[in-house]
Amino acid sequence: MTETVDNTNKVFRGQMADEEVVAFSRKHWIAIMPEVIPFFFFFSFVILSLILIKQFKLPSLGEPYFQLLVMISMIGAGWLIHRFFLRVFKYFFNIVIITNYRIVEIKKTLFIHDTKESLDLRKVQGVDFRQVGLIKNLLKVGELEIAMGNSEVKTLPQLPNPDFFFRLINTLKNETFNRQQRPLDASDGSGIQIPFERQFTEKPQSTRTMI
Amino acid sequence: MNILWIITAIYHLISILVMVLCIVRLFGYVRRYKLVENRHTLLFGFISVEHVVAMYVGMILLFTATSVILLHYLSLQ
Repeated sequence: MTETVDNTNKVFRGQMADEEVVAFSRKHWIAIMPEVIPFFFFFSFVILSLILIKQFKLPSLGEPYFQLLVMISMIGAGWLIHRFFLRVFKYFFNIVIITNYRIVEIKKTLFIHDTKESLDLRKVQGVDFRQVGLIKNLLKVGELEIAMGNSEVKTLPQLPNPDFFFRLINTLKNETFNRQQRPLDASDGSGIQIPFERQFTEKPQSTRTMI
Repeated sequence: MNILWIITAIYHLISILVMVLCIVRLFGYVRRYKLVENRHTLLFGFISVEHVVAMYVGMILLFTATSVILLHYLSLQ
């Protein structure tokens, strides 16, 4: 007797019972650089200011304008630190999960956003992979454009190693297609889909010679 | 001078509370998404979300301590 493994909510919320996670990915680290570089400069500036504080002739803390300046600097610095880390957490939360049935894109922040988008692999018409430019080719960062049945195109930008995901999605798409075809092949051997009621009334019109 | 110290204390209290709230929500997420990480999925190939949490805690505590020391230093001048 074979036992089926129940994968419900095993890896992510919304995972189906017979769904298996094949791969997942975050954006390439280049996506977080617009946050990291300014924060690095800010942090260096703060450290340098603290080291050189004795060199400056600062006014007394009793001065109201200096008190205001100190308060604004402190509040600003705290806000920048929290903002930076919230952006880094956002980077970790935004993921693309590829399963044997679908592609799930999760966009989430800690407090404001929580969206999930699911693309059925059966509806995928084609996948385009783009990696244009010297930097993108050196760092292996590109985008995938997934064409759906209803002429809708889903873009997965700044994906690391997009060639791998391009091949993976194509393989899974073919597997899904073969899985769909298998019961029909087993039934009449023609591989052509025939409506159930017509199977008993008409002879199947197959291009394959039936022996 | 006292008002400045009171505002600083309240601000840092709020800052630490925000940090704690973020971490609670973050670990809720980590509990729900049991993704198997590898060098292709980690930030720069080695930084996990737990490392970022540690850096966040360290940075906020450093910021609080530095602000208090700096205010104390300025008030002595």
